[in-house]
Amino acid sequence: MNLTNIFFVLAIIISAFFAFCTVGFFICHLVIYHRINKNFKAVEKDD
Amino acid sequence: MINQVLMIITLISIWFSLTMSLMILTGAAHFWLKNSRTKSIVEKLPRYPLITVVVPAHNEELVIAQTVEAILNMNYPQARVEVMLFADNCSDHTYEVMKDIKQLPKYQMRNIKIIKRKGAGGKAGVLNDALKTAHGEYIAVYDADAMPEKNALYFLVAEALKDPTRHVAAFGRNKTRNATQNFLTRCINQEIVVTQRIQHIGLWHLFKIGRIPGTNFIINTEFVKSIGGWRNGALTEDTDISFKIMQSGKLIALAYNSEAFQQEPENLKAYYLQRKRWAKGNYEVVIANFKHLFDRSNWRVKFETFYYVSTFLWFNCAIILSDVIFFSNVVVLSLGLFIPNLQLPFMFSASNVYIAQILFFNWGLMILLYLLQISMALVTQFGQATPEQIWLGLASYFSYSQLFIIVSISAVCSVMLDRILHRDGNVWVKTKRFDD
Repeated sequence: MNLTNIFFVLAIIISAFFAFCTVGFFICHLVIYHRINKNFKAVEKDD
Repeated sequence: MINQVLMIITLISIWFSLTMSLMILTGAAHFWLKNSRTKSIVEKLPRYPLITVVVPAHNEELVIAQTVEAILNMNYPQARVEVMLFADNCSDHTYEVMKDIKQLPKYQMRNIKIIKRKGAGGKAGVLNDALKTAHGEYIAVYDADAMPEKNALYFLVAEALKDPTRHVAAFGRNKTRNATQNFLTRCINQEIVVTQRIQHIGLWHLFKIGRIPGTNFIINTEFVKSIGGWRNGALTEDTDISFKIMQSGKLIALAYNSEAFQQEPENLKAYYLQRKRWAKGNYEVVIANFKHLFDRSNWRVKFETFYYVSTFLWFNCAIILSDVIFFSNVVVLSLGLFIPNLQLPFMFSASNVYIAQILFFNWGLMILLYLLQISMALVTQFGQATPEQIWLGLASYFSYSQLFIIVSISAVCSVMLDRILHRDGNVWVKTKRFDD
């Protein structure tokens, strides 16, 4: 296994990890967005 | 072979920096998931310690009036606030503006001292002078352009009183009050929101590490005296004293609800000078504290030193190297249109054709994570998370963010020249104000 191939395997693992984190943080982001909008509305009734 | 090794080192460094950012982002996400359900409640404190509010001002006639009025109207018992306004080496009408406010009938009963100062030491010199005469149990510092929100001081005191023995200082956040002025201030606003809502929150939530900002913080008066006060002439006296506090084993508590509105640079020159000063100050602190990586210092000092060394030296070098690699390849590719058979200077061997695709995917992920970090910071502030902010974040990735490289290279050169030429930094260094 040459240097390029070792690095390729490493890059695959890291990419999968970052992709997993991205999905996880996106879900957290949506939850926080929903909560902040619910709890910190500028006006009580905006209909 | 050397080219390949160089590329691998650069990429691993960038991955490591990203992993550190992700760690802090995880802390911040956990904090906001816990705290986004509850509304802030202003309850009566067990006691209201006397607070000396210090405002160091050097030629601040444009902004000082609004700041002083905001300080005098804070939600904190008036009898428990002593205000010290320093007109330090001013050549404009800062002192007169301060006097005019003090003479207003509604402030006749307030404890306000106005001091015309001619001494040296810059902002740290002012703070040390205030330290000698302050009567307060805590000193609160507000820069001349930092308008505190009504409950800013209340939240700081509440956080300090949670554990008065360990929390010798408490700090809040600063919002950009001229965020919509132009592209630069919009980018600065995003950067500041990310720093305060993600970085500060994450570091505090995970490690109980806090950093004293230049403004909107309180610090125990007796404690500052015990560590010898602020270092006169320090470019970033805030970072300097943060390290001293951590070294003593005490904590700088984060009062995330305490907010002040601060004016940010509106043109590139003012931005460049401000950030260069910050970067220089941070380099000086890193140099001064580097030895603590290897001695028996407090682990928070070691962590912070490592963090600063990584950000300002290691990761910066990796980013510069990656830019060199990228642009060298772009130049050679462009020349290849006219000169056939040119070999790219930086590329992996052709034995694995998928590696380029993986790295491209990686690059896309990094931009996505960068935008996600900005977006997560913005959603913690009602009304800030808009589609325009995402486009702005994308634009700033390729423009504003790259300015940091220029600033840090310039700061490194300046620090080296200061050392070689024995230049003194003991002068007032302030950010240009704008009449908005």
